[in-house]
Amino acid sequence: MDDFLAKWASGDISEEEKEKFRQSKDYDLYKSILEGTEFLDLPDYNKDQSFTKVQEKIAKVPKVISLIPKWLYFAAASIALLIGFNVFFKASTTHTSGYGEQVSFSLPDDSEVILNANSSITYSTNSWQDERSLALNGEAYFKVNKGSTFTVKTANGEVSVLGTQFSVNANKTTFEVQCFEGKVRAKKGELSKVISKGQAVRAHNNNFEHWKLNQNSPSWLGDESTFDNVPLQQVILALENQYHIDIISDHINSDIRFTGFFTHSNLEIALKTVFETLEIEYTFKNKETLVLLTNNK
Amino acid sequence: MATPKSNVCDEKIFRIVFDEYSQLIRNFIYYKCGDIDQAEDLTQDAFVKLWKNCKNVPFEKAKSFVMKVAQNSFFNTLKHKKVVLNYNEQKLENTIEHENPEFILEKKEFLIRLQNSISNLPEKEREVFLLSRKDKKTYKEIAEIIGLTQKAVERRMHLALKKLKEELGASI
Repeated sequence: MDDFLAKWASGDISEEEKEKFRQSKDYDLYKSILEGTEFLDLPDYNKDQSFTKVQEKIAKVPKVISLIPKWLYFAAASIALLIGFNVFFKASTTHTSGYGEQVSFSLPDDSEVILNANSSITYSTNSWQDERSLALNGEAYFKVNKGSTFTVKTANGEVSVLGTQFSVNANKTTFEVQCFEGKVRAKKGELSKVISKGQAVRAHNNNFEHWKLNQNSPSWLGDESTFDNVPLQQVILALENQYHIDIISDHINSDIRFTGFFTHSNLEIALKTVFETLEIEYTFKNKETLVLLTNNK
Repeated sequence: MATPKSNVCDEKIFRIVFDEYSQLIRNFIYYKCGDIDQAEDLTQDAFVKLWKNCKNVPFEKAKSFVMKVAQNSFFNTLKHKKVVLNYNEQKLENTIEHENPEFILEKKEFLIRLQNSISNLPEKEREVFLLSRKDKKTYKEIAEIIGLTQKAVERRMHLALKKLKEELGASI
């Protein structure tokens, strides 16, 4: 019979078969194996202690999306105020993340946003129903619910979608869009490009650079930021935002590109992984200011 | 269903899920990697992830969710140690206290060899054998946990027993 021993061990055989097996020469040894295993123990398990650890870990995770988003309270409060004072006042809501911090919240249509370090988003609470549009400075990941056009406006360009997952990194010098699901349109001045799942664009010298994504969500949602052939200035900015330091890079050739990642949990290692690979020497002028010296390339 | 909308965001339900499955998951990972600290760590992380995703995971899916997460994170870690189940001296002496010392010694030696042979089993066979014999899971339940057919689980159990017998038989 197929897999007889498995069936015997679980008692899933007939009395007749059992008796027959009892007569066989290996029976005693098989029986000792099952009986002996009863005397073998795993290390003790303390369920309560383990559960306490889970609670501690949960408390440490900053990215838990609150079930009742805080903006709801603000929005409710501001609506109440508005009715009392001035109905035509345009209420706007701003979400800001500090250095090294990630903030997640929901928009009025339940679309989700996670802000990376040192970024902010502002939108109009009043007109959200008619027009889903918000202003971003910094980097954010969006999970947009289906609905009317959803627009992210930045100083350097805008992104519009219908319902999808994507991230935008935009500040004075950078405009970068990564699409993780669906399709999005990235627009900067005259430039306009539709990208789909797994694709990304970056504005560079009045052109869009394209590349392919290896992951399903931005790496910075985890404990590191990854870069694929990214201008060094952008990496420096990410380091500054993550660790709240100033990095002086006047002596550095600005054409350098970086491919790799840095961790969010250890500044020393993060600096090493970025600058040592590029053969850039650096020194701390004081606690918060890092000076990049030379690069030998 | 009485509470069709029950999800694991309810702390009570979350705790129930934890009490019900955390030990099984921890044991399962231990059978694979032999590192109890790592097994407990990955188990805890899986539950942290469950909590973070509680909105999207209905109660009925919670078990398979944490199982999947724990397994995936296990595949991403590299540490492997020898799986060692130590024999329980107390238990042994309680059951055979009226036997002569020689018999007890013989029995202990057998247990040490058995524990070695289990360590030497291929991972896939060991996890089936131990889930069945230590966690008292049916082949059907094991099939669900590992993501195999019941038939394949029985095959692995059969092979595990056969290998244990051959190794132990050879050294007698």
